[in-house]
Amino acid sequence: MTDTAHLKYQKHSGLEEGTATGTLPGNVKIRFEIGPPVKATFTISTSKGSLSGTGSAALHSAGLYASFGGTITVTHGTGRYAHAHGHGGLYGVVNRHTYALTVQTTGSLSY
Amino acid sequence: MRGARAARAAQVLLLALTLLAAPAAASPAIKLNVKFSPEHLGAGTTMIFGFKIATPKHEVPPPIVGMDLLYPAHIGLVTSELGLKNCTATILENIGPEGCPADSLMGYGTALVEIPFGHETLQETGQITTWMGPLNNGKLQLLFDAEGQTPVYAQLVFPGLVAHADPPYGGRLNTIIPVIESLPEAAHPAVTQMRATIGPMHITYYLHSRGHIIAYHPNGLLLPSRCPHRGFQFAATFAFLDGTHAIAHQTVPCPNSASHGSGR
Repeated sequence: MTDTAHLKYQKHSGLEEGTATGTLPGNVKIRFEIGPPVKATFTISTSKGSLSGTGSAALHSAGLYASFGGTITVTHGTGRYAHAHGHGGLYGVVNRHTYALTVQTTGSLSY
Repeated sequence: MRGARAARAAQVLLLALTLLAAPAAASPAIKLNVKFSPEHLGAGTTMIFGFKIATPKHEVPPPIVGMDLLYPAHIGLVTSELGLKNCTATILENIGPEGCPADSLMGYGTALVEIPFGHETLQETGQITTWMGPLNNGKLQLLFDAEGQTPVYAQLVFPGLVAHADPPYGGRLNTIIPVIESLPEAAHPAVTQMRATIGPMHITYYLHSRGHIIAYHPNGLLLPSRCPHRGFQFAATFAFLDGTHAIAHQTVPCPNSASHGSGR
């Protein structure tokens, strides 16, 4: 499966929120921390349930646009995805001025 | 048997005398001084970092050749909006700080250098600027430019790499500091005090928008919305040219009425 999400930083919640398109379209919320390394916890909410997990990545560049790459793990879900698990790649770019974030995930998912 | 016991006793005595005659070099005492300005949870801030070295007889300490600063979790440099552009060591060495993009400036500072000169100790205050450098093996790299004019002209450009650190810390800034050259056969000058910022204090960035240049202050290091349980813990290990090390700790207390926790 492959998903791409375009997200905006929500100051009130501290989360990156937006929509994902691809194999599993839905609403995405990510708590995103760009320290050394990049860490993320995420939830994708679809009409049939939700998927949650974690990711970690290393920075590839760090100018105005910081790009990163790493791995993602689906740890649990709800509804149709209650027994979901999987893993894959995590790639993205964040605008360090606006915190706008584009993330792409690719990998395998079982549910 | 008696001879072997006597020989062993002599060895122990010799070892004890050797230890008494050649005590391990004592490392200087260092006081760490870190604070945030402003100090509001969930908001951007400038980290003001400093240290002061004290030696028993006020002699010039050996030069610092390395510093490993451990800082709290959830204080992200990348999310600080600082260092949106990069400078390079080559630009700093060949052109100087004026050759770096304004949007690569991360902070300012000063350093007091003590220079042994005959029976005197000269003092010199050097200016420090800190710049975002290119990534180094996937790690954020800060570049420090330190310049002193008189009585000894010196320019040092040295990197600091940002890496992960285990709890209770979140990250570390590992810096290798070159030795300042002085007069031939004279003892090396040594930094005895330093104060430097990483953050938007006194820093202006420029945004190009629809043909206009807009000046603004970057957000700065984002403090977490909840204060760590025991406050913001810092530690620094200093390595000296003579092989000794010194460790200093400091905890920046939570702002008044701050909530505690581990969240961002």
